[in-house]
Amino acid sequence: MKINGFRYFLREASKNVFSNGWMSIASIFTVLASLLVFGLFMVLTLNLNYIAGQLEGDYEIILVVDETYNQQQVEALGETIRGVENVKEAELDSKTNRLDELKDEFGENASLLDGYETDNPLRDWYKITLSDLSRSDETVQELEGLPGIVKIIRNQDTIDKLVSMTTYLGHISIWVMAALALISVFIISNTIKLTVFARRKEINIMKFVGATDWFIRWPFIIEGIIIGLIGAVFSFVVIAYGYHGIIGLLESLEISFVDFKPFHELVLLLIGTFLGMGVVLGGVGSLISVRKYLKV
Amino acid sequence: MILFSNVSKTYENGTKALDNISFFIERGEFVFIVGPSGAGKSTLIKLLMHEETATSGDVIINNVNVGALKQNQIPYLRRSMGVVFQDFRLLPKKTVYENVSFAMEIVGASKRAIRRQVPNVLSMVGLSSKAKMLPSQLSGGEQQRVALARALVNNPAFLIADEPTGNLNPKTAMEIMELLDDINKRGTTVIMATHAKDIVNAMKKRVIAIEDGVIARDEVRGVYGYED
Repeated sequence: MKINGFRYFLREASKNVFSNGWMSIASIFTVLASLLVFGLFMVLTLNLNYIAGQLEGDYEIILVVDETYNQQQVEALGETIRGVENVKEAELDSKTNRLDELKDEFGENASLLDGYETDNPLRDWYKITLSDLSRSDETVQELEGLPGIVKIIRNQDTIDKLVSMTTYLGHISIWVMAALALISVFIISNTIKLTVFARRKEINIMKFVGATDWFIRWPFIIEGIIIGLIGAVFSFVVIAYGYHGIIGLLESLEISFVDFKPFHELVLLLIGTFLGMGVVLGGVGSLISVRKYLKV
Repeated sequence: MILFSNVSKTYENGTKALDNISFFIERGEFVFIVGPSGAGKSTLIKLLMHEETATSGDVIINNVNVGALKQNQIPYLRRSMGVVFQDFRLLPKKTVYENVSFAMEIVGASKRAIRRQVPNVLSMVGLSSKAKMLPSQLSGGEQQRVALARALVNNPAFLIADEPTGNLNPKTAMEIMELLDDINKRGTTVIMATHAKDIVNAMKKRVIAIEDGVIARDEVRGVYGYED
């Protein structure tokens, strides 16, 4: 594309956005509405994944330590466990500590536990969390091989449910977002079709003067992209304010048992996705709607 | 040069518009295509512009077989010809100047070339003083002059005019014809489809008469020859 040509396209496109006044505003609102639904879903999915990730990350597996191990050996074992791949954290829950907790639990019946201090039958525990819960099997296998670990306590059922829920969410969200994007392109191409229809004479004149198809397409595509970008910026602002508001409200009510994804972690992804979607929706929408009028 | 060699055109609905037509137009000629409505004049023009393609036979323009052109080559064929229509087909929101410069922007001409050529061609059609007006502020004859300026601004080898005087009064029509004659004298081949008996008779140019899709006459200094 020559510089002359590009300037011409840009000038034509921006002129058309203005001269089509209401039509442009209608298209911008279409993009805005589509992206709001899309964005809402995206934020929801991101948070569900975030929460699922938290649940996964918080899920504890208990490693029971050989009771013949002395304190030094236990601590050394701790280092080895932390060195195992996929282990996020490993926390020692010592037998003395657990005995104290047990006593608290028994309360006035604590006398049952008399004599435990001198000969504690309880065993040291390491409570570990994993970075990726879906790979728990191989990690557990590796841990089982470590000398000093006599037993591993985990609830495979719960793990499986958690893992399948998060993968399921991931799949669903991809499909729903793809469907929403498709619907948006369809709606936007219909709106832009009206502006193309209003200018079909112009397109026809361009054709018989000898304009190439791409020369005719570019201004419409750029017009679509401009409209898409404006719609994207507006919908981003709405989503951003809405997110802040809703999260603030939920946190002030103090009913949330889980954390939501903090906004600053979302912002780049949101901006990128919205601008990208705006460009694609507008551009592809225009491309589709101008196609019919080029066949002369 | 333009060569039609055994050209037939049958539309999808079965209408046979042209039936085995052959003729040759030399560079620099002025040719009228005449005939009753529905005889096939418009189809002939459409074949020249590649708006339609021949069902059989060859249309050859400047040694290029038009029927064999790929879709992306058609714009370049159209740049070799200027086209004028009965309904002018100007862009209503653009000024006279812009309507003409538009045709140069489309072919990727430089800003400098546009600024040099557009005033030239506007002065040639006698519209320099109306360059900033919109088409709606002009008379029919003036609008057709703008269309002519647009058709000529890229110095095409051919000028194709489809009933260019159809919407004009006789006096204005004759002015447009004089302009076409001037253009022809500068070396541009002019092909004009028309119903205008008086004009054809007055100009004394080559006349190709089409009736029911076949060539009825092809005369060097012809007359219209129909009573309509």
